[in-house]
Amino acid sequence: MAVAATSTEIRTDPFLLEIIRNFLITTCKEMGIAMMRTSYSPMFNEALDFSCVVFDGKGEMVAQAPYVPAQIGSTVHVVPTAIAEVGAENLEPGDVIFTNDPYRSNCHLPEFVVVKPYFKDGRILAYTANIAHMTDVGGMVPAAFGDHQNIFQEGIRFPPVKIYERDEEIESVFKILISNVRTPKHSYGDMKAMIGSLYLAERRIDELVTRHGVETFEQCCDDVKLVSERLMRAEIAAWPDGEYEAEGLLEDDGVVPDRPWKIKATLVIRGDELIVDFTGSDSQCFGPANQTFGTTASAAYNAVLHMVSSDIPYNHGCYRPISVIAPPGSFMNVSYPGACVGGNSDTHPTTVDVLLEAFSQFSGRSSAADGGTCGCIGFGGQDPETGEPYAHLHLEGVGWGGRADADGNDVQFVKNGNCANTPVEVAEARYPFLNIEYQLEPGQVGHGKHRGGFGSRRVFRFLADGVHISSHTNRHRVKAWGLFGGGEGTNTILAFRRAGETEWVRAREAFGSASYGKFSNIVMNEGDEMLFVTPSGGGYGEPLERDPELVLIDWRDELLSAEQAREHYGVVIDEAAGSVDAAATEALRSERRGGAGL
Amino acid sequence: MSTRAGVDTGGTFTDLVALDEATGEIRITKVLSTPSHPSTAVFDAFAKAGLDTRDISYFVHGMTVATNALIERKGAEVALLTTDGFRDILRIQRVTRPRHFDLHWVKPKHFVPRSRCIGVPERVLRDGSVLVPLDEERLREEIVRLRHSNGVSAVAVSYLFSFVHPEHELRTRELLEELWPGVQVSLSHEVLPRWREYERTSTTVLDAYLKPLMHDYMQQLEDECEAGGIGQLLILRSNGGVMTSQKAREQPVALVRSGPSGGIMASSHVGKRLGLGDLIACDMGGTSFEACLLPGSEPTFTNLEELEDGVPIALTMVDARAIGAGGGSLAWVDAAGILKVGPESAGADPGPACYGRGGTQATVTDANAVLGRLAPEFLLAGDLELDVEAAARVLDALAGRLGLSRERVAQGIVDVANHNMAQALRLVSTDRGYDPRGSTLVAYGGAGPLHACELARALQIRQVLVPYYPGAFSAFGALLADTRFDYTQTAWMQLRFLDLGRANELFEALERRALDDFRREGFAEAPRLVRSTDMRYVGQNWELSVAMPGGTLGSEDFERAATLFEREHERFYGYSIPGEEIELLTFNVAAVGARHTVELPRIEPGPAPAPIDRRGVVFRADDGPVETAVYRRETFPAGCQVQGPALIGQIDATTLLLPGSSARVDEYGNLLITA
Repeated sequence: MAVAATSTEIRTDPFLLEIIRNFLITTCKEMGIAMMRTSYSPMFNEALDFSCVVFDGKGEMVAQAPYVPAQIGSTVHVVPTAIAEVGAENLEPGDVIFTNDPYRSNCHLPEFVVVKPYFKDGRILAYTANIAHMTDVGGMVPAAFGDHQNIFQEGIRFPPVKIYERDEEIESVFKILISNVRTPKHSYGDMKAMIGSLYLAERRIDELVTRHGVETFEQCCDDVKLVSERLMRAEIAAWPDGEYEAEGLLEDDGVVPDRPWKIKATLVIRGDELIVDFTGSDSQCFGPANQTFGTTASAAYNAVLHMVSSDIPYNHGCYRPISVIAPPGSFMNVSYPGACVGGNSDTHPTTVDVLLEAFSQFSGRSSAADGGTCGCIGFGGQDPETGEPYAHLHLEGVGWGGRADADGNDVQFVKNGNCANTPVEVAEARYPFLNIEYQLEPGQVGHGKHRGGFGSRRVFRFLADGVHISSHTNRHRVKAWGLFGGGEGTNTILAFRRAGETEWVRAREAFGSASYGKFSNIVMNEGDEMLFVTPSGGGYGEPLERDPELVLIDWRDELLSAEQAREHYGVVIDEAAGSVDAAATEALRSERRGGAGL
Repeated sequence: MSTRAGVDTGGTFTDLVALDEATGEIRITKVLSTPSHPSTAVFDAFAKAGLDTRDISYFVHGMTVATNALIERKGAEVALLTTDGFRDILRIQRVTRPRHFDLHWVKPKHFVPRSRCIGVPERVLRDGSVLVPLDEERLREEIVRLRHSNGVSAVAVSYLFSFVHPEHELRTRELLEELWPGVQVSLSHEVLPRWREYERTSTTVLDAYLKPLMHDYMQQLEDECEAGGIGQLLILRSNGGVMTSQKAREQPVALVRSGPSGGIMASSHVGKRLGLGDLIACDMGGTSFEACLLPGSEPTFTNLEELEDGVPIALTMVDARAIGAGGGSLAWVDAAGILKVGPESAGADPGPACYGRGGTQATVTDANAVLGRLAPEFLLAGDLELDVEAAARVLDALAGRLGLSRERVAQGIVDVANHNMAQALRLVSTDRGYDPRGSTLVAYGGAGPLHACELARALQIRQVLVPYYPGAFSAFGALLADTRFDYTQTAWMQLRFLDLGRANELFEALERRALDDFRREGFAEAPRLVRSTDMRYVGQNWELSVAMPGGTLGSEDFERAATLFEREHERFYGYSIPGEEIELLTFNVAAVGARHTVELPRIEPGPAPAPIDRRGVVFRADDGPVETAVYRRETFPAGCQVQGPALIGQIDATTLLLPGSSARVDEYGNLLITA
């Protein structure tokens, strides 16, 4: 096979390059819209927990759309791995490869990866790929998230195999798949939606190649990567050479009570290259909080891409200057048969925040830590009307960390994902529970010159007996940290009360689980309720430096009481006048500063 | 004598196109808008055109009044009533972000502060049953409290599942009207009777935000039309169709893209007539610039529009991108010493400095005036005298701050404005991976033809079409709009268990409503009725629309519909699942009125006229003025050709041909420019 070496100069006309680059991004977006409109699970059609990518014939990513960072980063590794294992030489037009194997650089079992080669004149010119979070993958809990101790409890695992051959379903693979999940009809429909999106993308790419020719297309693929690589290298080169260390803790693994797990990261900057080294992190844990190599690499890319201009086209070129070191058997690179479903949901954001702390040692682009959890709570049982099993994964937004230029956003999906909340009306139309409230949790936030964002508060009431609740959530014990004098965020609260009772009780006390946030198969019955308060973000900068007018706005918005304004910010609000008492504020603040010995 | 009139009210100018139905004669008029009382300009235009309003049998009105109120956040103070426990819906939104690696994105604030978002005890379940009855006592207290708080003049009401059980929202409106006479109310089940509470609430809040303003405007317009003896008043809505002023008053959020949709409909009409294929329509007026892609000359629509990231308007509207760039856009220098243009506009009052109405800040029009790019002797038929010296004065003030010459600053302002507009054109073309180079740029609005060649070159577009009356093109589009009313009934049924009798009843009931409405609105002819149903596979969340035949339907009609659904599914999404259960969600009837065909008037062929003048025009400040021929557009016969550089003036716009460009005039008087 004669493959020309990647050129070192950009040959495509810049105007055409821009059009083709955007055409491919638009193709990814169109794949996503098709997924949203045709899939069966709210994970896809409301939460949009999927990512659509296009790779070139060399197996390098050329386009992505703004879906889920954790998934996109792992495709850099899992897509080429899947192609190599099946063998590009064994692929024919109309074939589709499928895998969900976390030990092959995927993030965790629920991420289903499908890859389709696009042939032109007998040659593979591109691959279209979709990585999507399938709600149920069998295993010991509905919807995959709990306190598993090994991969076998987590669910069914597929190494890279063909699932379509020459446009025909491989029936045996589909049969094995749908025989091992709780929601066969939805899983089948969702797989069809994923694969449908690949066909759609292939049609678009074929239009493009037909219009511009094979040679131009291939040159363009090389050139878009080169453009990104250059921009990326320029960003890294502007950072001061050196080694920057940071550490953080994930509070527990769901198996060993009260034992936190250490993430240690070192950024090694040398010229225009960056090494992200996780040596020194703890060994792999006993529960599902481990990261796979795919998850760890993805977390590293995620942090780095947050620290550079958002104008850089995202493709393989961005990743070329970055190397990731994650020792096998560690918390950052789980070995078989370690569990890992929650590494992708809750350890990943903490890993990113540890890296952002390292970046904050020289960059003003960084931010305080965020709520650090996807809020994965699985619901499962039998539908009281139809008798059919159901599985639903609930996701929730959290408060983000304050930053140099602004407060953290309120209730926003954590950094590793970019999922939407499922509308109350959609969830209730499908599943036997009600939302009694869904609003902000006032008062609770990491204070700072720029405060963290607020989390949310939701109360569920169950409408049927035998609803199995499992969870992998974070920040019940370790709070989002602040930066440069900003305060810590607040904890997650996940608690329950039986019908007729008034007190909320957490899982450890109520059900004897090892963890407040990681447990499996708690059974809720009709009339029982569950409270879920998500964590707020950490603050950035000294609270006493916060603009009093911003404190006043929070007071007016009923998010902060006058007492809290005084206590946390040294701001005196004249409640009758509805304004800041500037003189009293100045006096109080200087007293506080003096009192702090400054 | 019977006249049909189309009027487009923009931020700066109000344009009229009047068609004499007997003779086919078209009259064009342009007057300055009167933003504080927009209907004044409408009647100014009628008067200036010499129209007796009693002769106007049919009047379609498009406007950017709602658009501008939203962009400039100049609507009403709104309060939001939600189901208790859900008051923060506007702040929580859908929790996603538009760019996945941007740590510095700030989630937008919605239009109601938290202190005016109030939870009301009530709760309806998915099947329409009531879990918590509406707490009228609490509601009364909240209404009284709101009424006495400052400045609130509109209330949005959005309760969970109101679209299956509207009684609580309806009762809330009764109590609001009882306790607070005159308050404007928007109910979510009326604005958008669909599930997904955030999108419905957001759309309802925007509706309430616009209501006091639009209510007053529509009321004035109705009163004045009635006093003037005008026959039928219709309002151009965001989807290119029309609605009655009564409906517009009740649902002003449907007018958010009213202004752009006129020009887009007109572009489509002209593009199809001339067989131009793909178009990019761009409208540059005094205040805003709008761009829309028309593949195959067909307008594109969206119902996923966001006013800004995270603030959705979930109604079908033309897929136009708007930015604050127009002739009146103000030039300013930011803290870093960088020259910026817009989005703020001098509007109609005071307008650009060169309009001599007291404008003291430099605008894009002032820059064009200084560069000699306007042909002032033709504009507004000479009603508007250009004070080029006033333009020079305000530019000199900027030039002093920037340390540049007057011409360089003028050139800079034009360049920045062009750059911003080219970005908007890219948003609808190259940013979606669409190659614009084979399309025709349709340039209209008062300032569009002046900038068209430069914009076309920026996007490597070769052909530009400047319509016969570019300034009044949107008003012309209003005349072309379909009279179309849509009726929808949600009725969830599986195809397998289809109740044929019920399905037929549903369609027939919708059609009866459509016919009644047409009669009541005074249309002589019965509308054409177009049926469709929205279908999906059982378990999916989104639907596809499938056309249905008229008359009494049999089961074979639904089988055909199912086949059609599978085919559409395959076409749109790349696959279908033969044998999978299909369900019907909504029954839809569109009532489409007899289409008003407007024949584009033809002009006589002839040789090119001689230029009426030659003058120096600055194309690049460094090169100095270039001698440029000046033509009067109205003297151009069909088939004549003109070489750039040239200034082509007419009553409502000036077209600028760059050196190296050329133009020919087609049989309808359009300028087809090779940029």
